[in-house]
Amino acid sequence: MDRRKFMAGVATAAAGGVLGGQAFAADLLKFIYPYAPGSGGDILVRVLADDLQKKLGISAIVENKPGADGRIGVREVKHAAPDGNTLLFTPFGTMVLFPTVFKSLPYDAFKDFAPVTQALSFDFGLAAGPMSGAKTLAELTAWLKKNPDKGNVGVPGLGALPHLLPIKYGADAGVKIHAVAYKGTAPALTAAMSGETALVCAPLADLIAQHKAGAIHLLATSGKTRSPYLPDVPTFVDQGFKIEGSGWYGIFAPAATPKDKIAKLNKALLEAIHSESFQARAKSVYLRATGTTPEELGAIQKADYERWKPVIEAAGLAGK
Amino acid sequence: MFWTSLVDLAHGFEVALQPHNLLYCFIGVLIGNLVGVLPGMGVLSAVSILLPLTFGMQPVAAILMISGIFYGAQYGGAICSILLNLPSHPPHAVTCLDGYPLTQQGKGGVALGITMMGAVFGAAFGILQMMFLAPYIAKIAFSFQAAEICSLMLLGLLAGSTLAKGSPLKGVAMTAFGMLLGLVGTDTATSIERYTFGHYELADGIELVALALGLFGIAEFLRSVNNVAPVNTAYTKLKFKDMRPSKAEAKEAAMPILRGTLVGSLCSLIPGTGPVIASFIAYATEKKVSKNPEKFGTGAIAGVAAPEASTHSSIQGDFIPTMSLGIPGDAAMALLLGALIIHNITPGPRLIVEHPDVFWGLVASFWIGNLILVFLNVPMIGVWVRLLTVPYRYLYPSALFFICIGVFATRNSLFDVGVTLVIGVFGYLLLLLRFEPAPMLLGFVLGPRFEENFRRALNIAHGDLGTFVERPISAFFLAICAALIGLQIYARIKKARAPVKLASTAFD
Repeated sequence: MDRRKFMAGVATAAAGGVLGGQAFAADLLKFIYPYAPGSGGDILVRVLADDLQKKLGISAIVENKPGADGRIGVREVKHAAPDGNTLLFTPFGTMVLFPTVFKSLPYDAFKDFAPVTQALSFDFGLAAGPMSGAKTLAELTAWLKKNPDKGNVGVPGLGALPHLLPIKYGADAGVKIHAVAYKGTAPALTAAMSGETALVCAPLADLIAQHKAGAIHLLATSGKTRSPYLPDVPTFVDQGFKIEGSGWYGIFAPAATPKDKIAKLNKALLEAIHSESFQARAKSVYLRATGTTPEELGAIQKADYERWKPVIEAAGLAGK
Repeated sequence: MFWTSLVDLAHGFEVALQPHNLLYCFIGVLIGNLVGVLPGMGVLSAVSILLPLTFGMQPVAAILMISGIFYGAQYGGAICSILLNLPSHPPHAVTCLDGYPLTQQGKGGVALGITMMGAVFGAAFGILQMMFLAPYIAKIAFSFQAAEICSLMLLGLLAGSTLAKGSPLKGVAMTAFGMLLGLVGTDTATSIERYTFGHYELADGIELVALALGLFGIAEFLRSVNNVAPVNTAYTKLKFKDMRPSKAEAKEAAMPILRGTLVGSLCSLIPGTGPVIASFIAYATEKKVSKNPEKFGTGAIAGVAAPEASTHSSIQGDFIPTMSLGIPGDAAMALLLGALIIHNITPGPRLIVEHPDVFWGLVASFWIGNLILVFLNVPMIGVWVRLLTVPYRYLYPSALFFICIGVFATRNSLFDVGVTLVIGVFGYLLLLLRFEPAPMLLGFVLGPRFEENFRRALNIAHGDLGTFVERPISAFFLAICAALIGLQIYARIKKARAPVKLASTAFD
């Protein structure tokens, strides 16, 4: 009997350890991240929650609600109590691209959410593997004109910016670009390194290490200006293309959250985002810590939605 | 090359044996071991909860701990598979097939002992491979592209559909049905959702953990309701000596362990082919080469030894692309990379050169951690076996409870708990009709990978089917496939010529 009790104790303790992060408390700030642990901004939202806890004394946890490309987690926040204790930490896609890409969504990106603040921004990169050996977009264009059937670009998913950017480049440069979808950045990157595809387009942060090691060569970054982490790599604009677009992570609350609560959250979050330690953490994963007012985030969301809608439609990727 | 590796390893041991590194390595494998024993409790959720704790730690200690959780979990994983027919983690599902019958024959302790042997050998091989071959293996991985992976998966499906005991026709049908279940979810090539019936929860497909726990765990429990044989306590009061596999059993396990290890290491080099696939292929290989394949599924030692060895060698091998290329093989590895980045260590092709203390410290900690795990687990075997003396009316409900928590924690999704229960009832019906669940799981695991890579290969080759035979590695796998089918036909014809009495058995 004693041993049984002991075993049950061990088991419960371990279960408690794993589930402890989801305990319910009165004033517990909960960030819902709609993707799996370890992916994209997951690490940064954990750092942010940790900072809020240590520096501002706000108890904060992160809950991963992966599924359906983020739609499940976003829907979860839509239905959460609008008391400012549940926040959505999401990359821009769910709030900006999905309304065009999907015919029907379980949420309205504009009506169901109140912006709180933008947390981070980042660029995308287009890189060539050893197949073409291109070092600039001009070299790539020349190579693709000679090898019109080799313009395969590995992309980590359809309908997102890493898919739209190379397609727009192909259309503008007059070369044939053919997107090959992979399940995430890692296999798309491997494909370009091994010569399965000629190109890979992905968030810049995921390509920098391999670029620096010479396994792939970054041809262009997608920002308005060059990335501070790679001042030697020109942007699309630098090379004469009208292609520009950055990604970002934003924090949203359920729409009915009171204004004063949002203002309070914004202030606390900005303090954490602008802290030196968070800035340094963001740098280490090649992101830029930004921090905006709720109104600014709303404006960015709307502007980006209007800007990508026609591109998605032109590429035939709009929800049917 | 060989000597420099040894010198580096000595340096690695210096790092790993520093008291605080040793402590975190121990904590990591201990947590991992506990997580591993609990059904469905994922490594991923455990690591993600603990991640913020590592922010304040030294980078090497953090990495040693997180890695420890990862490989430590595999040690616990087989325990419930063998004793309760409950695969705590998908790679150990195939261990149920022969592990549980062994328990029913009173040899649960022996099976756990064999598992331990396989684990140690597989892990040791995986680590050696990481020490001496990491850079080369990373290059070999590059020759496995969509066409090669597709052909390999086809081979796996062909070889594996005869996985089950009993009627081959039912085995093939179950494999096909598993492949159909694998279709559920978003199609990678077109982003179109298939068979989700409007449920966003199904957009990423059916959760593998839910399927494995439902088909094996819950189905078995339903079968046992009001149908429990009186617990045979005779074999639960064993001395340590009795739990050790006998010499003959150890000998029987030796070759399967070696083959399983090689299969696991091969699978770890192929991008995206993790321990789940490795364990299935190891089992299927073992059944194919065995002199008495009819013993499989009724408590064959080889059926436990090979998949367990392959799981452990594949888990260690998983670290190779992560460490030598900076490309994570799965979500848990992505989390490990994230932890490295947070500590300002850029994972990438130059990691081994730029941060030898991290790489070699990790390799050294693998040796230490695996040793700790053996010391933790071998004395525990007796305790685990006594778990069976807990009356079923307590044991089964608590196990069901842990299944539900485990499935929920995988994606924080209550929907998946419902899916598990539905699959459990379905699995029970299959058991009643004598359909084997294993080939269904195999089809579910390999089928989508086959389809995804088939279409990707065609996409890249602009629709030219020739790509599968033009590429030598792919052609080689296809040739083996053809040979397998040819052999079956040959065997059938030969049988048909034999007296009619024999021929009829082919349709059983």
